Order: sequence, then structure tokens, then C-alpha cells
Amino acid sequence: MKNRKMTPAMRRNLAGYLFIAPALVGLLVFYAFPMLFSLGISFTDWNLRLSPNFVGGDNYKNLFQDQVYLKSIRVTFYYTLLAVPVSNVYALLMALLLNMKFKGRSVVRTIFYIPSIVPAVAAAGIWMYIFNPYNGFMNQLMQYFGWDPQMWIYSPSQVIPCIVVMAAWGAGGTAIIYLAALQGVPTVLYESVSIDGGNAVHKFFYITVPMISPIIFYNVIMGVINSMQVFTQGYIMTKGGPNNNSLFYVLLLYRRAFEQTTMGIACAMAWILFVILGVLTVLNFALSNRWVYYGGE
Amino acid sequence: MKIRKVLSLGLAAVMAMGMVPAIPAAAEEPITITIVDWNTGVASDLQKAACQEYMDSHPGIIIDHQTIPYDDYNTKLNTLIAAGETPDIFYASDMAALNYGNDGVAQDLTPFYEADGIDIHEKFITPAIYETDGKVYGLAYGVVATIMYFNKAIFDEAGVEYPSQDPANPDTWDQWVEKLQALTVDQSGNHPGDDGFNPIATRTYGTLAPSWYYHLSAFLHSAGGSFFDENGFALSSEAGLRVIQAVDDLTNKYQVAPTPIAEDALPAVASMFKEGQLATYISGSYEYIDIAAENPEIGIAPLPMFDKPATIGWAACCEMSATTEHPDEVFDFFRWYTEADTNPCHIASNMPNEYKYYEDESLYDVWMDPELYNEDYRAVVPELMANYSNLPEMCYTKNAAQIFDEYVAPALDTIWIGESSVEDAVTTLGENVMSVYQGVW
Repeated sequence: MKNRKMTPAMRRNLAGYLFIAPALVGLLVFYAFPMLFSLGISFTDWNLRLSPNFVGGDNYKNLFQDQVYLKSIRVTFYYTLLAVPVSNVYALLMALLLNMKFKGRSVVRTIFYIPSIVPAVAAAGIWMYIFNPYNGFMNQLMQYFGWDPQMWIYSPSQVIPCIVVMAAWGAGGTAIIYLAALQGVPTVLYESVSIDGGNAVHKFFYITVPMISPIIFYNVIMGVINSMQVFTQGYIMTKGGPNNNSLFYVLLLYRRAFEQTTMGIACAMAWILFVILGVLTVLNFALSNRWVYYGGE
Repeated sequence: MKIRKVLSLGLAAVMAMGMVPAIPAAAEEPITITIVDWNTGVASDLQKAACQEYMDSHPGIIIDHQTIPYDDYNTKLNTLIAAGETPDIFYASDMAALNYGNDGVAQDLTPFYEADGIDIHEKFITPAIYETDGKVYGLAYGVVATIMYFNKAIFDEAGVEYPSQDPANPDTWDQWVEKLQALTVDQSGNHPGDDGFNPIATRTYGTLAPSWYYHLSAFLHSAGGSFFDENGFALSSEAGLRVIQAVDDLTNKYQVAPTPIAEDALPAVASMFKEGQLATYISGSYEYIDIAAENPEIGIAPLPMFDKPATIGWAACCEMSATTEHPDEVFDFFRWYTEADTNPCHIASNMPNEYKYYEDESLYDVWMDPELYNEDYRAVVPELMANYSNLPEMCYTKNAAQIFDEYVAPALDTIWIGESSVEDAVTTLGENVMSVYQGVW
């Protein structure tokens, strides 16, 4: 009996394990298991109705010969390449503006932040009106300036840039993170630049950017991950059109999984996306040595 | 003591005997039949009332009626099926209807109808039967057809003859286009082809281009073409190109229909008719109630034809689970629910699935309430449906959703928005789509 008594260390550990148990169980049940399950499904022809048959790597192999799938990859990469820099530059500029001391600053901060709390579906509605070529705001503006009206989200070449503008408009959350970072930059550093005769541009490039580079790095990684998974705009505004030019990866994945019920193919797509995001993130980290500055290094 | 013992034993025996009838009663536990559909609002209330009526007349049966909004319907139904909880009766979208049968989810209904002494093909109209390899996996619940609506006042005002309302002899496509040119007019009173006609400022459109692939398939039937045939991709045939070009010409050549973008910004069709902004409109009969509510005098005509009169008829269908525990009881309810004799509410805005309703004029009132359906509708639609309707290809193409949503519609989009010529778009479509085409059921 005595041997089975727990030592104080064991008791402490047990308490710790019990405390993290809810999170751990949640992780295993709701993340790890479904992930492994979907990996298994990706090697089958499961359509939700018949029992799955093992098809080896056929789903993966076929995807790389599937024109629609390849187009969705191109569309999504194109969007990411545009949306991440545009949103981050816009958010950083917004944060710089909001970091300045001026009258009514809190009102302006609120105005800039509001778009990021507008539900995606409502935002899509607003932008569908703005981009409507027939009577939308943008073409009225173009007419006002005497420019040719454009097709906007109905044009195969303009649809992605339009959605990028929408993404930048909703980048208030990113701007808040930048704002917090800006406020963490010690003012003494700016003072020393001033003493050395530097101007605002010097301050920005030699102090602000290096000092907030870990935050830029974080926002770029999160931006890439989010952009690669963009869904709502394509689903609501364009239905993937025109001619599949806004058929984002996750939109196609959703259709394959739940509309066409080709669950095996959809799971394979999800895993390929997982690998793509993993590679992009590793790549980002590898490149980060060159430009990200962590204080004290 | 002894007497007491005997008494108590006797009492126990009596109690035990009293329990005897309770055993069969337990076996007659009520049977629950689950039915899942996508009706909402009034339609859902009507169905619930219908289910209640069945329960009232069938003690021992409980109908568990569940409604899932259409947008989530396929996802949720498939999840139920995957979880082994297939509803006893379920709606299936026309594109997926035969998949459920082929995958063993839906029951072949043939033996059940045979047992009731019914010949399915004699009783039900063709577009109502979802059949492959001699097995009927679903029965359309409320059939719809593609028809033409027209605004008589606009025709009268322009002095243009109404479209032919004889389903056997409709207007030809060219006759129709000629009328549309006379009916389309801009704010300054110019018609297409006149100097100074401004399509941006059109006051009355001749029509809205019937560019949805369902409606196109009606015209393909009329021209003797199809999207696919036994040799594969068929839209590049002469008939196919002719139909697509003709529809494109409505917008991009004759300017009698708005561009798809301009169309997106237009008000609802019912109010366009009311305001005199639209002369004709090709769409499903399911829009009749809404259009007629604002335009009781709305004209109804068969579709303009290419070579022969044709339209399409299709419907969501009702299917019965292959794994139901009580097939006979479920089938009894299935028949009660899908037949207008017992459940007329389902044809409030759709059409019945039995021949007799089209052939016997005395039954017209059952499905075309004279208060709601005008003389034009009652004169044209029954004959059109009974004699000239075809099942659209989407309903029997194996991977229809992938084929038509991922390939056909995007390729046709490029034509309608003027990005690509008919021939180029159709050729490219043919090159791409065959890699995923799986044939027909």
C-alpha cells in the first residue's frame, strides 16, 4: 500500500496534467484526430455515401492534371502575392497615421477599425455595390472624372485586384497590431536620430522598420496563411467567376467536399494546402534572418 | 398462512394474466418515419400540416418532418447519410438524384409500385421519373417547366403580334427575335438598329437572355443538339454552336437583352413587367406565382423553337431510404405524400407528376387554382408539359455539378461578357471538360 502512494512531485505533475487536460483532450479530439482522419480519407474515394475504397495516391496524382484545380492554385497564389504586401503596407501606413498626435485621433482610429469588425458577408454586400459596373459607386466616380467605366469584379483580369482592395480595407486588425508595435519603439532612438541630423524618412527606415520587424514578420506570415485560405469573397461576390478567375483554393475545396461530395479529393486538396502553407512559412522563417531584428541580438 | 399464500399466488397469477395483452401492445410501438426537405415559410407549414393529417388518419405512425434550408441541404443530408442516419424519405436535388440510387442510399421503387399494381411509366410523366437501368430511384415531387412569359400591354402598344401560344406551333427563334427588336426601345424612343439607339438607356428590354444551362438545354433539344451525347462533348456540333450563338446575339448583336452585368442591377422581373420594362422572359414555371401576383394578365407561351417545339421539365425528387426499417409503412406514406390525390398542397406552385392531371381538364382546378392561374397558363402549360417536355441533361449526367458548375458555366460566362467568341469558348470547353466527364446514368 505504501508503495502506491504518490510522491509530492508526482502529485504536482498530476495536478498540472489535470489542468491542461481539457485543452489536451480538445486538441486531440477536435484537431489531431480529424486531421489524421482526413489524411486517411485523402487516400480513398469516399463520397460520404459508399464505404471508402483505398485508391492510393490517385487523388493527389489526378489533382495535378486537373485544369480547374491548377487554375485555383494560380488564382490563390496571385491573390496572396498581391494581398499580403498591399494589406500590410496599407495597415502600416494607417498605423503610422494613427500613431501621430492630432485632434480627434480616437475618432479616426475608430473609423479605420470599423471595417475589420464588419461581418464578411455584409462587407461583400457593400463591395458588390461599389464594384457593380452598371450603377456602382466606382463607375460613377470614374464617370465623374471622365474615365472609361470598368467591369471590376466581372472582368477576368480585374476581379482579383478588386478583392485585394477589399482585403486592404478590412486590415484594421493588422493596423492595431502595428500600432501597438509602434508604441513600443523607445522614443530615445528617434531622439538620437534627430540629434544626428536625421529626418522622418531616416527615422522610419533606420529605427521604425528594424524595431517593428518581428511584428511585420508575424503579420506577413499570418497574412500569407489567411490569404491562401480566402473564401467568403469568392463564395458570395463572384461565385468563383468570371471564368473561374476568382475560384480560390478553399472555395473549390468546399465545392468538392460538400457540393460534389468527393470527400477523398477534398481531403487531398486540404493536405496539399497544408504542405504549401508549411513550406511558405518555413521559407518565410529562413528568409527572416536577413531582415528581422530581435532586440539584443 | 396457507390460505394467504394461495391468495397471493392467485393474485400474482391474475396480475400476470393481466399483463399478457400488454406484450403485443409493446410490439405495436408507434413507427416513426423521418422526412427531410428544404421547404421554407408557407411551403413548410403546408407540409407540416400534411404530415399531421397523415398522422391523424394513421394511428401508430409518427411523421418526423425536418426542414433544412436549401443552401445547407446537400451538406447536411450527406452528413446524415455518412453518419448512418439516412432519413426514411428525403428530397434529392435533380443533379444528385440518381447518385443516391447508384450508391445504394435510395431504394428502387419499382417493386413497391408493382406490388400496388401500378405501372410507373403509365401513371407518371417522364420528367417525374428518375430512372437508370430499369430502376426508379426517385419520383419528382413538384415538376417545373421552362416557359415564356410575356407582357401583353407592351405588345399591344407596339402593335406587335403576340407570340404563338400553341405548344405544337410556337414562334420560330427568328420570328421571336424580330418581335423583340420591335419591342426593345430606349429612353428616346429608338429601337436597336436605329441611329442613336442607346443600349445603356434601354426603357423596355425585349427579353433577358436565357443563358442558364438548364434553359439552354431546352433550346438544344429544339435544335436537335445537346451538351453531351454518346460520343462525348456535343456542344461544338452545328446545332450546339447555333443555339449558343443565337442566345449571345440577343445581347451582343441585336441588343434586345441587357448584358449579364446590367441584368444583375435590374429590379425583380415581376416589377419590370409591371413597369413596362420587359416584354418577354424565359424562365421556370416556378416563377409564375410571383410574376402573376403583380401581373395577373401575364401572357404565357411556349418557348420559341429552332427546329421543333421543345421545353424541359424537371424537379427535385423524393427518394426513399434503402435502409429503412419499415419499408412498407414508409412507402405507404411516400405515395400519400407524393400524389396530388392525397397531398394536393405540394403542387401549389409546381406541377403534378401524374399524366391524368394534364389529360383530364376537369382536374385542372386541383393544380391550377383559377384564382391564381390565368387562362393563358391553363391553356398552354398542360399541353406543353405533357407533349413537349424533356428531362434536362443535368439530371442524368453522372458528375453534373462538377461538369456544369466548374466547366460549362464558366466557359459560357466568357461568351456572355464578351471576353471570347462562341466558337473559341466552346472549343476550349470541349478540350478541357472531357478529362472529367464520366458519362450519363
